[in-house]
Amino acid sequence: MHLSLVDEEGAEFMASRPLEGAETELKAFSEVGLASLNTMDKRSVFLNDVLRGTNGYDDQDETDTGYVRLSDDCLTAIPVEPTGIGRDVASVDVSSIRIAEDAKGIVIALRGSLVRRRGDRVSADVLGPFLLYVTEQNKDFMYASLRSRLLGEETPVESPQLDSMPKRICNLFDRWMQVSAATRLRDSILLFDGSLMAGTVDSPTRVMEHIVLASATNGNSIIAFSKMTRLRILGVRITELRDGHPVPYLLRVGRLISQHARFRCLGRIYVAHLSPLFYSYRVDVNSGPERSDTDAVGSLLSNDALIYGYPETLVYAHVLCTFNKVDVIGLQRFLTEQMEITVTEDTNIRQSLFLPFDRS
Amino acid sequence: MKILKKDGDVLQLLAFPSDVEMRKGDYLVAEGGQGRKALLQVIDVGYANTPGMLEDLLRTMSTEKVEVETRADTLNISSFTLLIKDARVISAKIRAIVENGKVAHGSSWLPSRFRGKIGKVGAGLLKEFVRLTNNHPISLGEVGGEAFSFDADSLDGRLTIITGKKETGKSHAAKLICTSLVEHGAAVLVFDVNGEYANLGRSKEGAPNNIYGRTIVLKPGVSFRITMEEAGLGVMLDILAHIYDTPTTSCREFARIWRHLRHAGIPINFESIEVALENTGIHDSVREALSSRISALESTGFFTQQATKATHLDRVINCSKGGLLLVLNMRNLFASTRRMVVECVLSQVGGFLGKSLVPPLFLVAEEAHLYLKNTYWDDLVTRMRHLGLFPIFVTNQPDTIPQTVYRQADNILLFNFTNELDLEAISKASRADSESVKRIATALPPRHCLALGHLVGDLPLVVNVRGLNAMTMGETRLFFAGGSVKARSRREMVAAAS
Repeated sequence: MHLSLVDEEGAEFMASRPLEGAETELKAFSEVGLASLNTMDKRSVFLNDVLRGTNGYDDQDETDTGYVRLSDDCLTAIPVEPTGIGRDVASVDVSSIRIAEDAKGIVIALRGSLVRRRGDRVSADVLGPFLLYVTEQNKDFMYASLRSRLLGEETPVESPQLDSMPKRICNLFDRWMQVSAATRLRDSILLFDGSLMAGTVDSPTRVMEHIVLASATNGNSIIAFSKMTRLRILGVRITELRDGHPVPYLLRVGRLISQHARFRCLGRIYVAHLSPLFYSYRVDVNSGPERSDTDAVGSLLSNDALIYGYPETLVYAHVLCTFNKVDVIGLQRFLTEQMEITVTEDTNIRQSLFLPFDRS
Repeated sequence: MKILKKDGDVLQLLAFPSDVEMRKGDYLVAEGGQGRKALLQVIDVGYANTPGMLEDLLRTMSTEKVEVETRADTLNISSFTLLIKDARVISAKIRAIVENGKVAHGSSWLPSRFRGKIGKVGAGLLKEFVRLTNNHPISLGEVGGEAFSFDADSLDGRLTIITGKKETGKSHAAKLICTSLVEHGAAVLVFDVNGEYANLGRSKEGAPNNIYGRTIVLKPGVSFRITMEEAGLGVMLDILAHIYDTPTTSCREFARIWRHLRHAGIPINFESIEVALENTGIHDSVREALSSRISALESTGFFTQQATKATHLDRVINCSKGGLLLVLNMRNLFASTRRMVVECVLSQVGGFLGKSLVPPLFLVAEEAHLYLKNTYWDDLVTRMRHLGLFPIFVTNQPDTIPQTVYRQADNILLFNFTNELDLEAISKASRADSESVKRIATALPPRHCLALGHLVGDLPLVVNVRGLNAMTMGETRLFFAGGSVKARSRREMVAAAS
């Protein structure tokens, strides 16, 4: 009897789709994207833009800022124990990639994923891919339009440089995904890729506060994982700080870090040592009013598998949204077939001129 | 589809599954400019090694337990990626280069990798390319959904082998060819081991069909007997030596008695030979050896004492002018009797053909290794073929046919084989390239054959063999299918027959 109840509950969990109906809200992407694609000049030759070193963006570490303030506070380990209480875990991640470029602009693709776990059952909603053709002519409109339609941000901001647009649009999409997760899910551990810093162009304080507030109202706890951090204490990267305490434990470093007046972290900053091997991460925790941060992290230990100390559902979210070579070829085929444009390999002037004489 | 690369005479083609449904053996034509075309035959279909495929497969594996639902993909872009992931590499052998409608031998032309247009090609166009004649069409079935027939002339004067594993349809194809040859007025002699050809003159419903009047079934010992004199001393000695293992001394004595009787003008039959054995001064052991074998020969019932009761094969063959299916029904015969009958018939027919007493005829021999003496194989495919006996060998044991026969085979209908040793045997045939044989034959579904040789203008074709409205009686008698019906006693059978 007990088993069947568990089964029913699991089936119900798998059947429930928190992002059901998101298509309507994401019309902004579809419409803006399609409109931009329709402006592509079919006579123009697009270059395959995938192999560029700067291409591909899926890490949300740009708001990982602050400076170290020497303080009397010492770093002490806060032990974390699995709570043993069942809670849903949900992870959000987004990814973007440049697919092609011509003389006027770049074609970018975006994809997002929301992965949820309850016990052994894991379900995922993958959103996209969305294609956008960003040019100098349409980037202001596109950026303002997406900010307004996705985040409700009407305050005019200058659009970024063309080369930074993929990253910025990706961030907007990420915030929308986070808002959606915080408002639609209940009593869950929400895992984000990045930090909970507010006040940047892509992380408007109003939006970040809304995420945190909605999350708290719905009984959720937010834990944001940064794989890379620029924060250092006395020259040492904070993720290298160790206490010698047996894992799992947290090091609260937030009190040692003064934040720029413009930026504000909407969670407490820790270094999480959750696995005995290799890696530690900067984690920003906003556990909500009902729970302590250690409870939230302990809850995560009870409800998700950890791979090198990193939550498995967050790995799934990353895997499901990231573009690989096959995806890129598929997207380029879409452009060729549906938008009737030509995508060709980028020419290398140096190679053209000097091969086979150039040893480089 | 695009050409990826060329490896020997095999082109690797990149294709999406949606582009075209491919089966091994299908033909493609790659068109270039200036009326040039390359005829390509699909010999294998594999996965394309797309960049990042390993990474993608690992990604998919790692998220296998995640139930994924894609949303908001309004432009259905994911389907394009899926197509890429499922891209195929088709290995296609270059069979011919066609220039201005003619096969250009030795041409090194290749279609452009970027501009070449590749598409499927039907049987009609293929026949046009290789300029197959159609004087006496034999409808064999379908090629790529189009009706396919070959010219009976391509079997004329040629050696044909039909082979494949059990229950793939080789006997069916042999019967289809037999009936078609008869319809075209040819004479066909069948060594029928299982009595499968006896009722080809009747439709499935049992009604006479259009070869009914041209079908003659001879049952050795019943409706087919010959005299010893007709068989001749040479054949009788062969029978004694090879079938009854008679010692050489005894054979020599038998020959001496035979010559003595002929010299004395005494008819040669069992009785006269027995009398001669009694009266001739030979060693008792030789007498005993010959006497027992003569009795065994007599008990077969195949040899008659009276010339009036003997069947004259030449007359039988010549009786029908508009085609003849002469079935030698050897069902239920002992293996030794079967071999004896075949030796006698081949000897007689060879003699008739040598003297032009009968027209050239086709010989259908199923599982010939069961009744054909080793020395006969070469004789059949060389001397007798030139005299006008054109063999069609049917077997499911290709290694039982000597390699020399494969080397001389003009036509091969190859049905499915999975055993590598069998395929190895076939691949030695000079008209087949071993790679195609091995790759295509293993993928052939039942009733589909790979036709090789003259009949397809040396353009290997996979043919879906058509049905035949005739009583083939090739089905195996089953215990369970027949229920638990008790076997009828001899008395019951006689009563039922009366």
